[in-house]
Amino acid sequence: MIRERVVFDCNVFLQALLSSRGPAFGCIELARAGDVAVFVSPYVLQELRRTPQHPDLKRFSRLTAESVELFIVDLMPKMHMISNVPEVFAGCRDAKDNHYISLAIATDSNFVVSRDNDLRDLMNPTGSEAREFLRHYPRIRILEPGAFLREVALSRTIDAPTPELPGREPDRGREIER
Amino acid sequence: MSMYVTISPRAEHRLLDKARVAGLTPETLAARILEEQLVRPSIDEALKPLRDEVASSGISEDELGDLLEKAKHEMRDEPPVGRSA
Repeated sequence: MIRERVVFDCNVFLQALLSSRGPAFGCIELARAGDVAVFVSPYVLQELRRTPQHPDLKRFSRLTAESVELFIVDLMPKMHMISNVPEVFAGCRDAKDNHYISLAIATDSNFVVSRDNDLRDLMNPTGSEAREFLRHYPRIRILEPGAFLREVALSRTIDAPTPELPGREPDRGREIER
Repeated sequence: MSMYVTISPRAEHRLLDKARVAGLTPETLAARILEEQLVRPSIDEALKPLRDEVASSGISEDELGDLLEKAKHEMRDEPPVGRSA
């Protein structure tokens, strides 16, 4: 069975905490159901706790430290916590995004899910950093939440059992490569 | 309400073990676990007032995503302090 290995930007978690209407929530639902393997680190959780403290988010009076903790505690049993992440990647435009790529490398993840343009631009080969990234880590894809959901849905469709036709060998399925 | 349920040998072993550690009878611990699971609100129920507040603000998913990205980047530049959300 294919089970994607994935690193979520802290804002995928935060957007799912705030709204059940969008693709970020769908990503977290996949994690909750155990359909994808999600890797987190203390750094990711630190960002998840810190971002809601921004003054612009005070407009949501019910967004409290307690609601964030409740969300984290509920999700943690479904997450894979990686405490020591070797910081091997240094090619992001915003150096504070490097950790997400290092976490993906350390966990052999296939996907980093983020809306962050500094991360997503690593998939655009017109930049020299991106070309280096794509050359060294061709198996890591950086996608927005919606694109990631489509990717997972597509892989499940491909993997769904094909009805046996006369004279045709049944599909044997495929194993996850990592 | 009293009822009779069947659990696996593995679950029985863990129940007996946990009850012993907690100083409870297995029946009391089983009742507490069942009660907690059934009565405790799910995470989605607990977060519903917050999500309703966000939805009623009229913000779109894209706007919310952009707002969070801006907040993340600006908070990265803030010195770490013990503020609550």
